Amino acid sequence: MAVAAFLDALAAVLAGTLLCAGMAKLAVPAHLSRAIGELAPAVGSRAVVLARVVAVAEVSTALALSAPAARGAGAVAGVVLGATFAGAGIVASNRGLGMPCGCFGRAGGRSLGARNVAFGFILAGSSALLLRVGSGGWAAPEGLPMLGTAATAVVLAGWLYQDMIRDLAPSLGLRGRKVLQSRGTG
Amino acid sequence: MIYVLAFMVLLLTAVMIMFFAMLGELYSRVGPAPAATGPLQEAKVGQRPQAWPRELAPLATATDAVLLVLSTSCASCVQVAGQLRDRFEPMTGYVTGVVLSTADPDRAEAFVREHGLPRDSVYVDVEGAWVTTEFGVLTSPSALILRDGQLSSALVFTDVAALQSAVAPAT
Repeated sequence: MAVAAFLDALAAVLAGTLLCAGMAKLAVPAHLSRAIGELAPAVGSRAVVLARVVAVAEVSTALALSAPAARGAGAVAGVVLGATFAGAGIVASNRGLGMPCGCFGRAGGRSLGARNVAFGFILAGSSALLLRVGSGGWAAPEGLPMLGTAATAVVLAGWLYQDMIRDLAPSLGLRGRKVLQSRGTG
Repeated sequence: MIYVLAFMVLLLTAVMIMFFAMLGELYSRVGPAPAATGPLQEAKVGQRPQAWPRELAPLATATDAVLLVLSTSCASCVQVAGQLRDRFEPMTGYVTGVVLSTADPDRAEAFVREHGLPRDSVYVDVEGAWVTTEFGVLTSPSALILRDGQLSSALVFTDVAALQSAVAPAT
């Protein structure tokens, strides 16, 4: 039971991460397409299409991992995606590429490299584990895994856009604080 | 039924993330909202301190100087200190010093190290005693504009760029 619950949680975390990355890239594929263009100059203007394909693949994998009947297929897709990310990270590291990866649809940030290799291995390894041990369905009650995926995606989005949220929330960080109010915590 | 509801939640989450990504892109292009600056009401404009700490001594004789009041326990001060890392004297022509208010001097030393501030220009003001006594200032982050060692104006701010816009270059 504990193993099944762990696998459920693992699948929800993977699916939430992929959902967040995929939907963000669907909305803003430009940054990933630039990284793809640097990684594989031969693709030219098709880099945007490739970025959207990656995004759709991530979202599809996330949905499959969240649906009990499709968990096995989602795990297979997770292995393939993980291997692709790791491969891209290794190639980019070897070539010393500097374009931000746009992995979550955002401008700036780190370029393709060690982080992508690490995430790729984690995704592929976890998906392989799900495929081997936990592809038979969910231990959690019906519907709960999808909520777990949604919760993971919301938390991740909140963390990714924390600067924007903090800046746009007028009550946070825009007002000065009393010096003497800091006595308690110094 | 629960399955359908859960799927709807997942769908709404996906759409919300898409909107966040679009908004994030817009935010990165337009930049953050202009940071607020405003006069610091409690400051004793016209005041000349009786005594200056060693770290702030150059401000006493400078024609134009700016004294930045930060605190170890204020989130905006961390942001300002991060901005000072690249350029400690943010305003051309102004001698710059920092008063770092704190309840714990060790924490203040760690704050200075963490943000790469020049230690010899930072006065650690335990519980804000000096800055409150000499200038009546209770708010951080704030900037005290000094002319010949005398407080000529005081601003509350949360962003160095906004402070630069609010204060005219020294002549």
